[in-house]
Amino acid sequence: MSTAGGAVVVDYEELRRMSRVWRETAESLAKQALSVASIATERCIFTNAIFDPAGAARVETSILAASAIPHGLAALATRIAADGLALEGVVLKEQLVDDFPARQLWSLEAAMSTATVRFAFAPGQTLHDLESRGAGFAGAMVGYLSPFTEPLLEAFAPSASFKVDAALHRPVVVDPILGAPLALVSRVAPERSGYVSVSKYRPLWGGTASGSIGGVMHRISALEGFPEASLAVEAVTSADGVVRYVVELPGIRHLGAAADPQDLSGAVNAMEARTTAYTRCVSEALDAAGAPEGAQVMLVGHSQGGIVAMDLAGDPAFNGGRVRVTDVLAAGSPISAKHVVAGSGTAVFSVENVADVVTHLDGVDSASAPEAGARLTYQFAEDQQGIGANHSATLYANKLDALADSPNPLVRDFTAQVAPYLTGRTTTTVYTISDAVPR
Amino acid sequence: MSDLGGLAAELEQRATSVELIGDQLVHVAAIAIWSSVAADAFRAQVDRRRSECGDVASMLRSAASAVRHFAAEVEAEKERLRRIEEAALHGVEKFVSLAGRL
Repeated sequence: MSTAGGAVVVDYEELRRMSRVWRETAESLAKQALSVASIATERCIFTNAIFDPAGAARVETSILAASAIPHGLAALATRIAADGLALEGVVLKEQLVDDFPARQLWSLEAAMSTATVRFAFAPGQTLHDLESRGAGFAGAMVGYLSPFTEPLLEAFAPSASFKVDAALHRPVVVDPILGAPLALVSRVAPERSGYVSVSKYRPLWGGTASGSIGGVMHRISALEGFPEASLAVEAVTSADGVVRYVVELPGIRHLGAAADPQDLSGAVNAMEARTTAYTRCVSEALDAAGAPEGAQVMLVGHSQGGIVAMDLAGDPAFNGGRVRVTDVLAAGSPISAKHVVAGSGTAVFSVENVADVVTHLDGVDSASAPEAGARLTYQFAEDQQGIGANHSATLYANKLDALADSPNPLVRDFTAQVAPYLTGRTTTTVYTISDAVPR
Repeated sequence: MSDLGGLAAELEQRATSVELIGDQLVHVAAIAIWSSVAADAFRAQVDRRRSECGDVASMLRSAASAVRHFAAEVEAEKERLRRIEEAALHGVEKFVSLAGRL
């Protein structure tokens, strides 16, 4: 939930993380209370009590007072646990009330209540109206239930093999209904060689540095609006004179099969395999942009683009071979189960809207993985009550803009690290990408 | 842990750890992206909890101080008893030697 002007900003996921810290702290304090209370039973106090019985009694009293209720460690643990529970309860209640797609439900209910009468006069229009309102409600419900995708799949997926993977937090390798291996997709729709050519479209921001992590995501949002499947390479010469490369990777644009890598089969294959037509297009684009061997590269991707970025960062022939991927910024990408090349030092910053169902498609909940400087997953909850709206690159770009002034030290570290990619003299080239050389 | 000095040191270490926990809670609440009246109220509550952590740390330190004081009293009492024992032994020896001369 947030309001314009910044008066009220609530990041539910952040509050949930806080309540976890509170719970762990309360547990730690309760353990300390027990340890301190056990000090009062130490033998040396009793054996020495014969020399100063009053002093021993004072020691016992003071130790027990420090460990027990009403003012000691145990009492403090109880109060902090209560704070954590209250915070968790408020967050759950607010989110359930705040995000419930009531408007879409009322709209559907209103249409249904008058449908019988309207159907007599305009049957086609009535059915179409019901269909569109039903679709609106269904889309909003997907966003509403997305934060609970993993437990829901674990409980209700028909495929036993899928359920086992979900229960063990393993990456999804079979479909949730029939349990058919996802690798079959690459057999049905095999990945081709990939082909890039310089696009005839020139973005307005071409030749200028993006300035921020939000700025670079806004560029991907713009690329997704181009008439052709595209990616962009920006060569940035920063103050230290080094030329670094930012590769901007848009997400899926066709929910079926198409002649370019940004289609459904391309996305499924990117989740399954490390090398796809899209990854080959990135290598070709860097060759065409004149990036030398071992050049420093930052990969930025939205949705499928983020998966492709992680595939490249995890490929030793690319990361540490062709170039050195220093940073990956992924937004709305199911990459929890993907890893960079061991020892490469590649930093990964993944931003996930928990109301975005796409981020849950790998069946692995990022929250179960520990946060660290080299791999930071920033989760937030913003339910726009629509599958597309919850997943849009613009929503992620706006969130990254809001994070620019974040006091979170891990976010600040990442922002500082990628600064040389975001300011300096810039050359931008947009490439049109396709599965193979056009005939 | 067998000696009283060790117990006192343990209690002081716990006091420092509780103070750090209070500081950590304030830090976590401060860096959270959360601005509203409720957020301000929660942060004020966290400040109170930090102060309570400080109070508990003081209680642990005063328990440590009570243990040290007890240890000093025990040592003094042992020393006094040792002196009485020595004096008694000395008196017995003197008595035996006097009786021998007689």
